[in-house]
Amino acid sequence: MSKNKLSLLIVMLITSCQCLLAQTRQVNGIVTDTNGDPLAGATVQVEGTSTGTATNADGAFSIQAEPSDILVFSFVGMKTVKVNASSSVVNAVLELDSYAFEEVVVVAYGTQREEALTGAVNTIKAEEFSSRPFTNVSNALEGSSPGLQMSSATGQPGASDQSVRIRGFSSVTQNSEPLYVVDGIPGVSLNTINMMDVETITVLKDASATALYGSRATNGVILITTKTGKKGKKSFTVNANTGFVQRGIQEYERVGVNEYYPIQWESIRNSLIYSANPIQTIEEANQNATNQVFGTLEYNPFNVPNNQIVGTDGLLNPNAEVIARDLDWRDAIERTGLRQQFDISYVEGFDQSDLYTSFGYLKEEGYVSNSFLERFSARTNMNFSPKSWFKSGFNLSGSLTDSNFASAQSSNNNSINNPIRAGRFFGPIYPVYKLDENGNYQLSSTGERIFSDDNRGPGASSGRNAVAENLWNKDGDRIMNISGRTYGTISFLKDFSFTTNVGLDYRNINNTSYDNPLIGDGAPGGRAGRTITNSSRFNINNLLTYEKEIKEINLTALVGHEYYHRNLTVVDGFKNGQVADDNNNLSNFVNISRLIGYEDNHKINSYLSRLNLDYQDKYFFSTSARLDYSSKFSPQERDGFFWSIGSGWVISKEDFLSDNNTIDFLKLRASMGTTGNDGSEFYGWQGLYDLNFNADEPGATISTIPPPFGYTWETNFQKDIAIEFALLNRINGTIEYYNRKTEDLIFEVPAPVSSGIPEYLQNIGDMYNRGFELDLGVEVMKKANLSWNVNMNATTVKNEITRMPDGNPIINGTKRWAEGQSRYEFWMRSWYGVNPDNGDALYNADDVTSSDVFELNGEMVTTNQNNARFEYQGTSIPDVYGGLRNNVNYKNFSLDFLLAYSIGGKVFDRHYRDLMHTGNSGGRAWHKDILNRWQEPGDITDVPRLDVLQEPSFTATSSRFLVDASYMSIRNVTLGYDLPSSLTDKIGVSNFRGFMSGENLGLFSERQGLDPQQGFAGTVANIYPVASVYSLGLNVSF
Amino acid sequence: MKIKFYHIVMTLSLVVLLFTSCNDDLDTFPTDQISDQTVTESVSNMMIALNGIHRFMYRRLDSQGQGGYGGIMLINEAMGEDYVFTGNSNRWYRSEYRWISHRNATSSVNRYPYKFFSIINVNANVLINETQDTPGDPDLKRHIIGQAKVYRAFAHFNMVQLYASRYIPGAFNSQPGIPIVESFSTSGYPRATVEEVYDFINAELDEAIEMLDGYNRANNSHINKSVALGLKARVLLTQGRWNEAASTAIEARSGFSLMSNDEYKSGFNDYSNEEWMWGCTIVDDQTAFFANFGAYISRNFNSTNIRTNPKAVNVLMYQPFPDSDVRKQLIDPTGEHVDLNLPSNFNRRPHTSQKFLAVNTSDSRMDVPYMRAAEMYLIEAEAKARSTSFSDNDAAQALLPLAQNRDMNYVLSSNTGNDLVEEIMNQRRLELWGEGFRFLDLKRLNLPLDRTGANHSASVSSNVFEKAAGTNEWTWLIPQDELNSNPLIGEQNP
Repeated sequence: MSKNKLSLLIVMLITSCQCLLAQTRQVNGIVTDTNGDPLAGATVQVEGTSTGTATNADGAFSIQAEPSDILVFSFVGMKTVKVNASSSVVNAVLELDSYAFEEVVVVAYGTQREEALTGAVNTIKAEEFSSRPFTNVSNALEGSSPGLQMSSATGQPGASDQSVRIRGFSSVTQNSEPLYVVDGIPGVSLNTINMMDVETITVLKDASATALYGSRATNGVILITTKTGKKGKKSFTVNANTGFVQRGIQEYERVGVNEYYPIQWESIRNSLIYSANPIQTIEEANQNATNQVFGTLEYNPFNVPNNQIVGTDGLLNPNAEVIARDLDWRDAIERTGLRQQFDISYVEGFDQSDLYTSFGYLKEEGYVSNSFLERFSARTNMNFSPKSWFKSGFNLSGSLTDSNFASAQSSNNNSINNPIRAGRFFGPIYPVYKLDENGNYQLSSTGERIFSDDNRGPGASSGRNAVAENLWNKDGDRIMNISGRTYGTISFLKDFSFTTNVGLDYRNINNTSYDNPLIGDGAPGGRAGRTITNSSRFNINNLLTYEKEIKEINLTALVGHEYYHRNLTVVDGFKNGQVADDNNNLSNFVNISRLIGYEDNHKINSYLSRLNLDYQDKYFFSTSARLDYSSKFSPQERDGFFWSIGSGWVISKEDFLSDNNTIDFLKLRASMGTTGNDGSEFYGWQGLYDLNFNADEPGATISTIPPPFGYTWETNFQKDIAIEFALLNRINGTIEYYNRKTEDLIFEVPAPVSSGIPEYLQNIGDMYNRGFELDLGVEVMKKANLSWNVNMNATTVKNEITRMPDGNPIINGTKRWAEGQSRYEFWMRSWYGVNPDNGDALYNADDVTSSDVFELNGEMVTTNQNNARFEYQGTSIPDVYGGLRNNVNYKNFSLDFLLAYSIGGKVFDRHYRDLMHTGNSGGRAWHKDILNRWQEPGDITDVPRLDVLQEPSFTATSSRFLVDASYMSIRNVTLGYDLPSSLTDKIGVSNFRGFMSGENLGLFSERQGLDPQQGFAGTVANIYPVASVYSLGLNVSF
Repeated sequence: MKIKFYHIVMTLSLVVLLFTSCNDDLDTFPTDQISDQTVTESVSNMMIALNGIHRFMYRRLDSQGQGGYGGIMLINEAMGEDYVFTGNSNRWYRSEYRWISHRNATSSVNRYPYKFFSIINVNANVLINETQDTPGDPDLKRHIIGQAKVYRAFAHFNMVQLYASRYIPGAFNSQPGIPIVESFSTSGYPRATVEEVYDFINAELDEAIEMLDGYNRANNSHINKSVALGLKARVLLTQGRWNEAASTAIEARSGFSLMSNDEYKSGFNDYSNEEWMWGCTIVDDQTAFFANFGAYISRNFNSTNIRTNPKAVNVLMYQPFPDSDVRKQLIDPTGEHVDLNLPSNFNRRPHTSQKFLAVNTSDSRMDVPYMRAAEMYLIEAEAKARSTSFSDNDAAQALLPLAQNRDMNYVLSSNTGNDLVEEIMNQRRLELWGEGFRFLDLKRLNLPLDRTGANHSASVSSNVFEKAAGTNEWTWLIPQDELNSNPLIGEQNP
């Protein structure tokens, strides 16, 4: 467990050998940690003298000492041990000191001792996730540190990064994702990085930590640092991991085949006696419903004639037996996928250089058939110092990723070929395969089953087949990612150093899409597309550092310049008319349906500076400033100045606490400052015309108008205060309060529809996010063979919009942005209930004088959804969220588990609404709750009458479909076993670890099928639900 | 030595630090868009913006059921009684067929025509308002602005017909119409009365007719004087200004001839047809795929909609026509359409029409007819039949050229009075089937919707067979988005 952590510390350990003059005998020994692993670089000192040495790579030392001397063994991050030197062989075992704050953490443009931090920084170390079978590094963030709210990961292998919000929502309409900085290059996406190469993930949360990233830092900054070689270490590691992949979230409960037809019958019958014009008698209506129900659903899975499936009594024909088969589309869509991961790496550290190099292979099959990811990655990271005044290094990596997507991304929400949607919404009466009248498979000339393209009800995508389309179509990315970093540091004039960092990331995404000619959008010609996206990021900075120790003051000053250039070039072609089978390359297609290309550029020119001061290692002060010029704004408005100040006070080092046995560590820190958000638009300040269709003559139409009221950054003004503590040698934690106010929020202000302009950009409005963060670690048990650590974190967010343009609210989908409300406040029709007399859906009325309004139990209600009263119905923002991590070590066994939770907030369950339809979408599945519908006068229920003609009224978006968004999910459980060193020595390895790990093992939420975590806005879509992964792994080093 | 080396390095580094970049480099521009200023820079660039509007007429809006003006034509058909859905399987336009969407203010279909015509309008506004100083050929500039004015009239005319209660001929129409939007304002405009909107439309068209004098257009996607006159005739017909409608229609069609029967049977997909006054063409690489007009109305394109729900013609309307009528010959009572060789998975439904044909089974593109000379004959005939200034014979004579062209056995009508009006209206219904007129005709004439006794299916129409004339249901609701974003809009329609 602790090896990696220790290794990191070793790098920072600087010990000086001293020659020994005293004449005594030699004492030898080995220093190890509690796992028996040798500690390299530990200090061994004769107490009360200046005699000392350091252990070598094997943990061995030899020192001259008298028998009466006491040897003091110390190591950063470990508890100091004293041993009598009476014997000539003295071994020492050092125990981890959990409350050591000597760790060094990665921060903006450098590293810093954790104790000296004046900002809010959390570090996630490789050891916390290296056994977990996930594929995207962003998955490591969830539950790990306070302040991070995550949307669900998707089950699609190779999908984009999991969405993160740090300390609430800094923006309303603009990018709210944190800035990812990978080894110093900002803006990189994580899905091509091999997580085994990652050493630490650092989350920067407040202004003191982030302000140096200026105009892109408002949403927080996440630094990914890859591994480097360790001084004095030499090791080759093999990591292998195999597992299987299954669906992680259950499906909604839906009615079965026998219940389905009578429900549709009732919806037709009811429409004829309640809603049709003219209204029919119940006898006529019953007969008509019996006659029409097949015509509505278009497929008969029973062995009775089409006009006798449902009797005029509304019941399924008692003679009806289901003869159709394969009625559950999920069976044909889902599978158990295989996941394999294999990594090798080598590290070595010399005096003047170090090296880390790795090669990784990963293949993950999703649980939806035909979805997969395959990735090869390689990295070499080396640092060298050929002269005492010069240091340099190269970090080169490349990866090649191949993937195929099920059409279940957020953009496919309503796509007919979306297999998740088909599995969720198809009525249980439609077979996947073509059947004959006896329910037997129809077979092709080659004896294979034929995919059904039957007529179905409109809710079940007639003539299409999501199973076949998922199988035969293609939507795959082939991504080549190359990145290179280098730097050179020159130390001069004693206290100065000058560093140039250069980095280039290049990514080529070659997307292949193909629609087969047999069924679906590609039929009958077949069509294919290629989208080639080249994205490059070039970043250079020059940093001048001055470091000086003056008496008890340590001073570090930094000034620098940075230039960033991102280029995005896209070529996109689409053709139809396939020539030969089994070839989806464009030359194999006849007609061009689309051929476009474009290029975008984003540049930032910046100047930055920072000053860190500390006095007596007790009082810390830091300040930073950055001036950004961004191409996203007009020449007049493109400069932004961002700053921060922070201070820390280690109270426990004061005399009055130094002898306190309860309080081991106590620190108070506070910071304030500003950061910016430069928005999502490359060219937001410009008025533009789209070069759209031209029919062979140049043509253009208005796309955007220049922001009529000016346009610049969103500015985030942040304050933060925290207490860090360690108590009783068992408990440590941080309690933190943050207050972040965003000013000049960029809004896409909706213009009147009649103006013909959809919206325009304007800096309007202010909003704050405030809350508390708690991070708590408890060593519940710490015995020689048994230790149990619990870490938990909790975060609260209060989000409120404090200013809107002229005070005018803006309605956006299910939300209404207004002063005094959160940015995720649901604004919906106010649901009253169901009229017991006729089963009508009732809403609280808006215009109570309207003829459709009547009084019921003292409320003015209406069934006309256009006259329903819109009201605030609560927010999607949870009251508190966080994670819980447990770590139990017993002898060589370790058990870890990680929970993520969220309490409070609401989600608008659109799927549930669609599954509670009134019959207009015949063929769509019904949720089991439809069985509670109103059926006859006097029924008291909250499910309205089934009625084909009342869909818009009865299932209008309203508070009826809001549910509690609270959840708890078991993100990971890992059981590991480390072979004891006695055994590893015998077989000649330094480390041998076997582990079992399960990812996403359970979700507990208000309604089965609902993933309340899917989006921050509290809405859901038909996207690939998260996967459960069960894996077995082996990690061997020698 | 060392120190000197440092000095060199430091000097170089400082140079790097201070001069690596300067801010002039930070101006970046898109490469797939052009600046708004480019458009009004020269008259030839104005032409680019005008072409943009022509092409916007077939651009997909918010869903595949919103394919430009073609999609609105389909909605106007779906809400009438002559355009028959034969299958329930595919949802596109079915809610419109059931008269649901236009009365649901949050439906995107309810917003679609409102948004579509507003976008046409704002693009036209720029060409009209911001080009005073634009240099270039003054004649071309006049012709461009003239076309922009036609678009502005066209947008307001279509919107007021849908989103306001009908124009009552001869009355003063003080009921709320739609906002008249002549320039962009973030705060919106209030609804003008229906009368004011029609005054505006007429004024725009009168100006445009003058400005387009002498304009020779490149092709039929552009608007010339004839199209402006044709639109004016439509407006006058809607207002019940019969005499002016008749004379304007005659003037409008001048120079156009009726197509031959062979051409009539060739699929209605060539905008260079001599009878087409205005239409669009869609080139290969700019297809809107399933949002094309031909993806719903053609008989041959392989879409779920067409396979499972080929569009039939109201039997009560078309069957009385003689078999010698070319238009009837396009309707197959068996639905087989033998000459089309339809693939076997195409549903055969009785009385489907093959008037419209897409490029082929896998390409839904077709040129879309916005205005044809035939409509001008029908406007003239209807106006004369309804006007007291003309005799029945005048009206029958007006109908004759068209009716005789379509059916060579046709002889001058001997019908009089209401029968003659009825005959002309039936000619109109069959001739313009699928071209987006029926709902608007019923509304302007204050007629009920009556689908009874024809071949409409109860399950597909959800038993929506009849709608009484003149009720609130004939008025589309103002989209909720407009109520939300335009503080001046006022009351929702009842």
